[in-house]
Amino acid sequence: MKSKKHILILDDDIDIIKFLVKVLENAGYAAHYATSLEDFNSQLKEIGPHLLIIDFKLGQTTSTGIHLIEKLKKSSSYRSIPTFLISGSLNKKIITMATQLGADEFIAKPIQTNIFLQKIKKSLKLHELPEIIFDIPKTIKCQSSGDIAQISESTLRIKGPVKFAEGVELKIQSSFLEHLGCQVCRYHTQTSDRVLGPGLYLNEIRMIGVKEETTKKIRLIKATIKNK
Amino acid sequence: MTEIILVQIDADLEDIVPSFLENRKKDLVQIENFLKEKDWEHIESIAHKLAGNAGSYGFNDLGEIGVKLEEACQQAQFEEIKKYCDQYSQYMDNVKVEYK
Repeated sequence: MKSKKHILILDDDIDIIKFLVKVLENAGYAAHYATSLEDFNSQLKEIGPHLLIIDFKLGQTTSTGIHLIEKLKKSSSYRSIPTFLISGSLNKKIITMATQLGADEFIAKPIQTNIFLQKIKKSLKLHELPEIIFDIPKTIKCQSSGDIAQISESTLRIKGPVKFAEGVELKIQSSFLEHLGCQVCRYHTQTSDRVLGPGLYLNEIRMIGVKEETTKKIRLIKATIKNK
Repeated sequence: MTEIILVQIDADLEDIVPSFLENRKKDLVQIENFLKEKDWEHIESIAHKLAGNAGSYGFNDLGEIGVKLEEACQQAQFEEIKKYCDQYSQYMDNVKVEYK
């Protein structure tokens, strides 16, 4: 079974958002929404959506949506996400400008549901990555960033984009851990991986070979936090 | 006698239409205040949204009122603004929804 495609909407009109969410969910997509740029940016990182729908006019300011599209299309992380501009005042000038800045498709308000869904389906298909089947090698090396969410004398919890299997050996580069004197530690993943959201996992990692001096420093951190 | 405006809406939208209509009534309260203050900019903003969202839900005539009200605000034509605000209010008083 194929997993649902995630679509993130940015619009300041809650009634249009409710409408789009309803239409998209009825069509089998996972719809997410934001009513502010700040919320949009945060969800963009957390969800890793397959498609974006951005309103041309946010609040009283015109063309905010276009500037956002321009920014996204300049970003190496987000430029490949198909991005739709939605507007109640689409005209040739806006379409030309948005096309030059990288918008992939345009949706005029009022929204014609059938046309809207056809465009979504077509764009997602066009941007679909080819299915690659390969023999899984015994080891895969990968590098990614993550945040240390929790630390104790023997375990770490790291929030990041990779879900590890049990017992995987990790190499962790962290100035925080270096400061605690963990250069000599080895790190092995444990079983309790938790999915925090699409593309975001909490990995529990066992620390092996922790020196007494390091455990003291960790306890001191905890005591300081408790006392605050 | 006032005629009922019967609008057929897609049954898939049944659970979101009541809140949509409630929000339009709230808009009308705001518009009344903005009219007193001759604040065309805020009425235009409400009308712009109305022009886009009403037709999407299937309230096409209401969406048209939104388009005309937005244009009237852009040209600061008081009589026209008042006329379309009244039409908006009458529409909301008389609309009845039937889900198909």
